[in-house]
Amino acid sequence: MSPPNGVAAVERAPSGPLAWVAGADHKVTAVRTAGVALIFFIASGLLALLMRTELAQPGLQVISEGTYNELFTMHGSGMIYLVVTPLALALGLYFVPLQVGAAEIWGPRLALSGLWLYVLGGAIMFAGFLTDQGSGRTGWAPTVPLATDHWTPGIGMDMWVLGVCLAVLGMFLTGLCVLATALRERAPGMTLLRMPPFTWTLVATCLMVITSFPVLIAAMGLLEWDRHVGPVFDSAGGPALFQHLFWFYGHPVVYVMFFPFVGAVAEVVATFSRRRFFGYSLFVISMLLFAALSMSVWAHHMFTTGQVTNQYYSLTSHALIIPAGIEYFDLIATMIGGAILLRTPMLFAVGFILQFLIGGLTGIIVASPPIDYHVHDSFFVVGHFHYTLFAGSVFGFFAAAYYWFPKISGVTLREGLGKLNFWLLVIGTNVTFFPMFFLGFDGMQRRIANYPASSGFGDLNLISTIGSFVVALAVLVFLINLWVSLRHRRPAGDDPWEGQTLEWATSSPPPRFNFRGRLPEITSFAPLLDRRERAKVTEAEAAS
Amino acid sequence: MVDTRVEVQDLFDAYLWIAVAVAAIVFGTVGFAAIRYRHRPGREPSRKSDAMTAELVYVGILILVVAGLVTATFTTEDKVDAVSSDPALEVDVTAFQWGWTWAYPDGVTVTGNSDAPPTFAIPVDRTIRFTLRSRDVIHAFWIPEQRFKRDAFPNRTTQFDLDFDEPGLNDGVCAEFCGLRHSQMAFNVLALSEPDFQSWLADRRGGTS
Amino acid sequence: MIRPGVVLAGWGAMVSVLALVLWLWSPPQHDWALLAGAALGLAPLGWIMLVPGGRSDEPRAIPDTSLPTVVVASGVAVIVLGLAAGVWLAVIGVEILVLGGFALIRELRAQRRARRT
Repeated sequence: MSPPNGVAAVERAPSGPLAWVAGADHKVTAVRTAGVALIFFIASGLLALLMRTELAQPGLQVISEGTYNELFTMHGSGMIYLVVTPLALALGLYFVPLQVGAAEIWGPRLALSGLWLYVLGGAIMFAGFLTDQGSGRTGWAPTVPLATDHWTPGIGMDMWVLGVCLAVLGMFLTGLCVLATALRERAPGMTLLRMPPFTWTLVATCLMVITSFPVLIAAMGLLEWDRHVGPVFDSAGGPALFQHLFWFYGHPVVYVMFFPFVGAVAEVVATFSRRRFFGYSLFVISMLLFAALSMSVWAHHMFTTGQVTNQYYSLTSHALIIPAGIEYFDLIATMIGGAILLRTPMLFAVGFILQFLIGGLTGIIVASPPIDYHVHDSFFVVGHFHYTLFAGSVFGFFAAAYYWFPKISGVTLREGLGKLNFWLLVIGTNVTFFPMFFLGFDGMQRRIANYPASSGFGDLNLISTIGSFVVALAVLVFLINLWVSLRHRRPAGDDPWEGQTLEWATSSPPPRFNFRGRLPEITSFAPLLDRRERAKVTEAEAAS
Repeated sequence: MVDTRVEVQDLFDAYLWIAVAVAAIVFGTVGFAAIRYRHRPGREPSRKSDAMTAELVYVGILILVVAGLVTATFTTEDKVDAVSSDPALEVDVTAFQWGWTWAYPDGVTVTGNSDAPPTFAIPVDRTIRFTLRSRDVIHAFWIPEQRFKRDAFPNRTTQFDLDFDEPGLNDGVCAEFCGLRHSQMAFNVLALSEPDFQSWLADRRGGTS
Repeated sequence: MIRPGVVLAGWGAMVSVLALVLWLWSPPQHDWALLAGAALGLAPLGWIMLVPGGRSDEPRAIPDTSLPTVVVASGVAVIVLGLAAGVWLAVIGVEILVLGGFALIRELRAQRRARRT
C-alpha cells in the first residue's frame, strides 16, 4: 500500500530562515504558533505579576490607576486572544492530521496565513503601549459606551480593537483547517467513530470557532466604526446589543480554550492508565452537546443588566453539568481498573481534573442569577475563571506538553524537573486563586487598582500575591526544563509512552508528510493499543 | 418585601454544600483510583471500555440535579426580581463618572463622588424602590451586605426593590469597570430607624446636601 | 458509517433547537437570531470545507514554504492597521497584498503544473 496520499515522503522537514517564516508544513506552523503563544504568555504573565504586586496591600504603591487599567486589559486580552486560544488550536493543528493518518493539514496556506494574522494582530495590540494615550484599557471584554472614542480616545485603543480582529481572524482560519482535516482528510479505515477522543474534542472546538469567531470580528469592526466613522451603538439598546455580539463569542471562546486540553488529558489518562479511553461513544456525543450548549449560554454574562431573559440562560448554563459530568465519569472510569503510571504528564492530567472541577463547580454557582447578582464583576468570578483557565486549561497544556514534546522534538523532557514544575505550580496556583473566592464574596470588585485599608482585603491579597510569584517560579522551572532537554538531548524514539494513537506510529519528529510507508491497521480509536493486544493474543496462542 | 441578603445567602449556601459534596466525591474517587490502580508488575489493566447502562443512570441523576438547582434558582429569582406595587420609599439613583446621586421625594438630592464619597440614608425594614440609570457609561450599583447588584445603563432605567433589615452602615461600590476612577466610586448606605430617617431627610429638605 | 456532513448537520440541528427554545421563551428579544445565524452559517462553511476537490490520492506537490502566503497575510494586517493609522498605511498594505497575491497565484499555478507531471 502506498504512503498516505501516495506522496513521496520527504525525510527531513525543511529548515533555515525561510522555513522559520514561511514553512507550510502544518507541524512547523503549529510549533511557531505555540512558540509565539509562549512569548505572549510570559509577557501577559509579567503584567499579572505587576498587578498582583500593586494589589498586595491597600494603597497605590507601584503603578497609577491609568496604567493599572492598561495592565489588566493587556493581561486578559493577551491570555485569551493570544495565548490559550492559539495554544489550544496549535495542538490541534499539529496532532489532528497525525491522529487521523493524514499527510498534511487541509489548507496549509490558510493555516500559515492564520499564524501570521495572529502574530501581527498580537504585535499591534501590544504596540499600543508605545502610544501617547496607552494601550487598550477597557478590559479584554470592552463595554459600550466606555470603549467608544468619546470615553476612551487614543490610537492605542484602536490598535487594540483592530489587533484583536486580526488575531481572532487568524485563529478562525486555523480552526477551519483543523476541522476540515478531521472531516475529510482521514486515512482509509479511519472512520469518524475511530477518531481518537482528542480529535473529537478538536472537532467540537472548531465548530464553535467557525460559528462564533466571525461574530467577534463583526462586533469589534462595528466598535471601530462607531469610534471613527459614525454611531452604531448610541441607541438605548446599543450597549446591550454590543454585549450580545461580544459574549456570543466570549462564551464559546472559553470552551475553545478548554476542550482541546480535555482531549489531551483524555489521551494522557488513557495512555498512563495503559487502557483505552472509557465510554467513547457517549463522550463523543456529549462533547458535541457541550459545544452546542456553550453557544447558547452567553447572556449569563449579562444577568445583572436586567435586559435579558435570565431564566433561559440560567437553564442552559446549568445544563452544562450533564456533558461535563459525562466527561468526568469517562476520565475517572478510565483510571479505575487501569495500571496507572504517575509520570509528569499524568500528574498534570490529574491536576487538571481536580482543579478544573473547582472552576466548573463555581461556574454552576454563578449560573444562578440571584447568586450572580452578588458575585458578578467581583473577585469571586476572577477566581472562578482562573480555576477553569489556569488551574484547568494551563495544567492541561502542561500535560499535553510533557506528553507530546518527545514526539515534536525527538527528545524527552526531564522527569525530575517536570515533577518540580508540577508541584510548584499546584501550590502557586491554589495559593493565588483560592483566596479570591472569599475576597469577591466579601465585596471586592474586579478591575480595581486599589481598595481601602478599611475593607480588610489586604491579608488575602497579600497571600494571593505570594502565590503568584510561586507560579512564576514554576513557569521558570518549565523553561529551564525546555532548555536543558534541548541542550542535552535524550532521544525519545517513536513511542516513549506506549501510546495508543497514530502519531506514535511514526518517527519523532515525524517526516514532512507525517508517515513513511504503511499505516498500522485502524481498527478503533486506539489502533496501536489494538495492535499490542492482538500481538499478545498471538503470542499466547503461539506459546500454547 | 424581600430580604435579598437572606434569600441570596441561603441559595448560595445550598449550592456551596452541593459543590463541596461533589468535590469530595470526585477528589476521593480520583485519589482512590490513583492509589488502588497504581501500576504494579504483572498488573493487567481492565479491557472493559464502556458501561452504557450505568452511565445513562448517572446521566439521569445529573438531570435531576440540574432540575433541582434550576427550580431553587428560579424560585429565589422571582422573589429577588419582584418589584412591589407599594414601596415605602422611592429613590432615583444616577451613576456617573465617578460618583452617585440619589434623588429622594420632595426634591431632596444627595450627591458625592470619588473626592467626597456620599452617604445615603434609608429606613430599615421598609421596601425601597430604586430606579437606576447612568449619566454616561455603564456602571453597577453593588451593596455587598445586601448581596445584590444591578447595572446602570445610559438612556434607560432599571428598577429593583431592596429591604434593609438591620440598622447600620453598608458599603457600596461601583462594580462595572467605568474608567479611570472606577475603584474610587464608593458610597455608603446608612440604614436608620424610620424617625431617624425622617429627620435625616428633613435636614436636607432645607437645601444643602 | 457516519458521513462528515451528518456531523455538521447534526450539530447545526442542536444549535437550531436551542435557538427555537430561546425564541419561544422570549419573543420580543432578538438574541435567538444569533443562534439561528450560527446554525445557518454552517451551511456555507460546510460547503467550503467539504465540497471542492476530494481526498486526493494523487501526489500533492505542496510546497515546503510559501512566502507569498506570508506576504498576503501581512498585507491584510497592514491594511487593517491603516484603518487606525491613516490611509497612507492602508495604501501600502494594498500594495503588499497585491504583490503577495500575484506571487501566490504563480505559486499555485506551479503547484498545479507539478501535480500534472
